[in-house]
Amino acid sequence: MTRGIFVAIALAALATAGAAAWSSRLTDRPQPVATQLEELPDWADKDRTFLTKAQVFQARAHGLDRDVQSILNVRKRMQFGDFIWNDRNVPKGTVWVRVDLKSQILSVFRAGHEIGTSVILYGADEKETPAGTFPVLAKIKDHRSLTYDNAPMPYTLRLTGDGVAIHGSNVRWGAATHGCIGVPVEFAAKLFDEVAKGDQVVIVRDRKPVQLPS
Amino acid sequence: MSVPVQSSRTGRRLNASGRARRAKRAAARRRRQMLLSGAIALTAVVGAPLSVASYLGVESQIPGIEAAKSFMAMISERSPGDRTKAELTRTNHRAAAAPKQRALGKITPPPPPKEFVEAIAPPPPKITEGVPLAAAPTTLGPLLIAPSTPGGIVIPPSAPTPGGTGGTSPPGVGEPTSPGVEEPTPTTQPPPPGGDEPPPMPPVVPEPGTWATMLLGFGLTGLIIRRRRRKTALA
Repeated sequence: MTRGIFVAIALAALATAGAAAWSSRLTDRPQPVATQLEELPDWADKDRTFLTKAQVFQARAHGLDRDVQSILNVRKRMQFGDFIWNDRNVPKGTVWVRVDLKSQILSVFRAGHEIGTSVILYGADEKETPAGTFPVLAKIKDHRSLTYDNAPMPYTLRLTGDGVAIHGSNVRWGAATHGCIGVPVEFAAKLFDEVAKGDQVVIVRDRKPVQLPS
Repeated sequence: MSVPVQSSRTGRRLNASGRARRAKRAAARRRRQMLLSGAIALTAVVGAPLSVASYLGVESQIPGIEAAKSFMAMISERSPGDRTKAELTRTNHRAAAAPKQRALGKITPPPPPKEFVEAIAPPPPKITEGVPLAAAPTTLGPLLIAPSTPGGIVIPPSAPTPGGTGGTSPPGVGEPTSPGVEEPTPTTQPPPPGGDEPPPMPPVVPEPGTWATMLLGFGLTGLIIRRRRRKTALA
């Protein structure tokens, strides 16, 4: 009688232990995934994360329309007015700018490597910033707004014919623009020097995954 | 002679060799039970942390394995978050308008409560008979400019209307019933014996006579208290 109880308890304990081991995946672990490329360029440093092919593929599935090789390591959440600029050792190449309106983050890429990132201001709900890909139409260093009462817009990179541009402004919490993209003035100066007329600016409104063309 | 023992299980009578076999079986059973309980204890000891870990969702860390983050995740990690407030940047900085000057409204103190007024200054009695007003200025004129009693102790009129002391009462309260205004017209109230003149303001600094009276009074009080205490002490 007592032996039967002991056996039942032992079986239950064994079953629990087995289930626990199985559910905690101690017994069957997935193979580790490399977070970085196997062979990194010799100028790679700790301020930069190189993306694997899988990551690039995933990013493309989420709407990124061009390849990215590395992005800057941002160790904390950026605040309004923060920016990072680091183009050390990054080779020359095509420059493009990605503006994520939902995350309020702008990234500058050169030859597939991110060289700068900043928190932005974008258009208010009644004056929305258009989404899409825009080539820089004009660069004006000391621009003053014609529409908005001579408001100073230093380092303007004009994107559309009706006046949407990337320009320096006072980036602070709770503010919105009339459709432009506001970046910190110091960052705007660096961006102004980096971007040439004709370089592309991709403005992304939402992070919805897009259908890949089959 | 040994008494045959009846087996409890089979009911068979056991002899000596049967008893020995039975003892061996019991020993084997005990050993098996020991082994079994040892195995159970071992399983429990090994299984407990595992089950706790699995229920808590804690994975035991194995270094070197880190899930690769996606590009979008890395971008949103640095983001300050979604926009919650979007106030349009003011671009048209007009010159600030000059502050407009505006006169303050006339401040009228609220009328004191009725009961309060009546307690301080009772309503004036009705005039019973008409008196030619022309006579009043003739009597009032010299009386108003008549000098008060020179020097000396000020004796207020014996029956002044309460609140008629003028300076001490708030100006708005006693005004309509102030004796200075009422007295020229003969009323049912008997005129104060000190004449028709309004009671003069009591001076701020007491007169020497007042001082003397006060000192005398205090001295007398002190003297009486002293004498009384001495008397009680003697008794």
